[in-house]
Amino acid sequence: MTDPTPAPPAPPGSGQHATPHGTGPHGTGSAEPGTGPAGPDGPAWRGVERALLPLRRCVLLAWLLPPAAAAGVVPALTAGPVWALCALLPLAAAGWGWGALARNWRSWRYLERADDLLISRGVLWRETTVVPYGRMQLVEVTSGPLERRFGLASLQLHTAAATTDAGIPGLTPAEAERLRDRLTELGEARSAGL
Amino acid sequence: MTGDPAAGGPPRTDTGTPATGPTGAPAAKTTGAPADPAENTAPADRGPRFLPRRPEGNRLHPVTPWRRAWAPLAGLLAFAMHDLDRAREWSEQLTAVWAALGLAVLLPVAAGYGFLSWWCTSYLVTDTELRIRTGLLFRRTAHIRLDRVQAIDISRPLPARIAGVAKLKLDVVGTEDKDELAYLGERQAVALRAELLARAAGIAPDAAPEAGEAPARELLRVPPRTLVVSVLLRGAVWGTLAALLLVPTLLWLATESVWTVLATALPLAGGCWAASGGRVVREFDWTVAESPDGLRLDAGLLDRQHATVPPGRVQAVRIAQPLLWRRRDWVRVDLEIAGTGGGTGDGVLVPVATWPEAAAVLARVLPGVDPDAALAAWTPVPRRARWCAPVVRRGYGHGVAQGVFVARQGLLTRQTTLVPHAKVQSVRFAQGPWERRHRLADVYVDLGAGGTARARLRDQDEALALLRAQADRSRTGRRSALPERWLTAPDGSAG
Repeated sequence: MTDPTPAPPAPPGSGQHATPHGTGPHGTGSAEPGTGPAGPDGPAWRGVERALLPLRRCVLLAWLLPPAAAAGVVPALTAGPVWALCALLPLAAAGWGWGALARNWRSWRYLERADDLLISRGVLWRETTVVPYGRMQLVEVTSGPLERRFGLASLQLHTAAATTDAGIPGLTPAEAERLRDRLTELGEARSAGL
Repeated sequence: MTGDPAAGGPPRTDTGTPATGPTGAPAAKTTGAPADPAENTAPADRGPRFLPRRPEGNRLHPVTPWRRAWAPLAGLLAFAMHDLDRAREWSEQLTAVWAALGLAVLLPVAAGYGFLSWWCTSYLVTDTELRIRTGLLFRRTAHIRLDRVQAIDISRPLPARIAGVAKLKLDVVGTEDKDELAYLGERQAVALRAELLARAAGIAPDAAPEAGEAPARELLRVPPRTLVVSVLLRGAVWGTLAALLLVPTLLWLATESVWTVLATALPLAGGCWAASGGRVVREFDWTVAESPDGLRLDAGLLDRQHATVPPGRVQAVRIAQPLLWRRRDWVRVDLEIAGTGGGTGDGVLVPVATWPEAAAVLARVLPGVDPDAALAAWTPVPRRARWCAPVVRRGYGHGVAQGVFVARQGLLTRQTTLVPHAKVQSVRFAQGPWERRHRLADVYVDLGAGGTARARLRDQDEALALLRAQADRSRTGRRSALPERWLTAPDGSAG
């Protein structure tokens, strides 16, 4: 519509407070990630697969454990046993990251609406992207070796705008393919030029 | 793809299918600028046996090889510049005989290269595509879909103007560089542009070649005086000029090294020229005209540029109001068109004009949008935004007017971005921890041109509502947008 005033604000589901998973731009109530439908017949927010969490934690440990070991062993051998406490720094970071990844994992959600796809993510830096189906130029499903080990795939959407940043990690390959086919189909049906 | 055999990709296989050549004939008819003897588009023309097979289609102007002939010489020159000491050493040993001998070898090689690359280049217009074939060793065939053409430019650099030729450039979505045809005869270029636009507009294939140049109506012409004064009133010009005077002087006092001073002064001088004199030369006699094919932008003192932007190709419009221009109510308007990579230098619509004049042009560029209402539609950010951006927040603003998303920023140079709802590619809501503390959020609107319009520091609830509403508006806006082939619309903007 082209009315000059913004549409009346939707009742923000669980209020304006910043709970990690309550402030999607949907007005149909606050759905937990991966749970049932939000309304009587409305679409549901879906979360990403649980396996994404161990995958990301593996990556985190792979990055932080070697530095922790190095920070513990090298100063201890050269300067004295007390200096092994240096290892606490990377370990603390790993501990914080362990929890942060869980919060981040919970924050990832997506919603297929009639005409567009919503992707919401982030805990501290929160971002919600709306991509109309007709604007999708390319839908891409990728699955790296590590992701395959965890039985995951990720989906990436491209529009004509290079700045559009819309991807969903941590889907099952079947869900990623279903989504890809559905998005492609809807994209063709609603396709618009530039 | 129906109707004309040229589009169906007839068996253009082995031997170039000469006389029947359905591909050559219609196109030859279209571009047949009679005054120019160069337009020998005879499809049967295979040339002598020792030459590589000429791709079918129309040839470029025979002046072209001379441009290409410079390539080896330019390479040599670049090498000499790259390795100055070695070059000097060589030049001392160089005698007249050697020089003559070198030239005797080099010139024919250069001429031959130029001739062959010209020989192997051709273009062909079909119903739906422009096909450009180039390449002597590495063949390249570009098929450009005409309904995806975002803009067509004809440019005539000074040497080309003397020779009576022109370059034709096409802006297509998704390509880094513009595809260009250089050089064509001037009349041929104009005729080709008219034909391409007619086909892109969806005129019936048979009528397209004869459609001719659509009549244009002048909307705006920038007087030279205004242009010069506007450039003098830009802070950037005086800034670079001050830097040009100060920095090399200080460097000279500090180091007394000529090379250091030169190395800083030259880029500064270049920047200063680009912002002042270069701008005047480039934007001299800026004319905006309107035709059924779209907007016509003509400009240039030495190098004449003629751009055509078909209707419905504009992704966004940026209106800039520099501080010193505001007393005169002057604005500068830039266009964002997909394909030009969102460059700011490329997409000027109006270099300088009073707001009422610019608004009249804008009303034509964005049909159904009231520019005055759009410029005034913004509302400021909440007062508590001072904790996030103490000073800059005063420049931020956002609003929604009839048909456009409006975002505003900038204190000294006020910049207002208007994005037609139909051109929005995606909408993003973003909020950092500090913003959340103050219940603020940003909304980003991504454009096809690669840019982003930002509504910064809005109230959180307002931003969430905006995200929803903008997605809806974009969807409904697209339904009412012009079709790609603008003349096929039942209520096309022009007959």
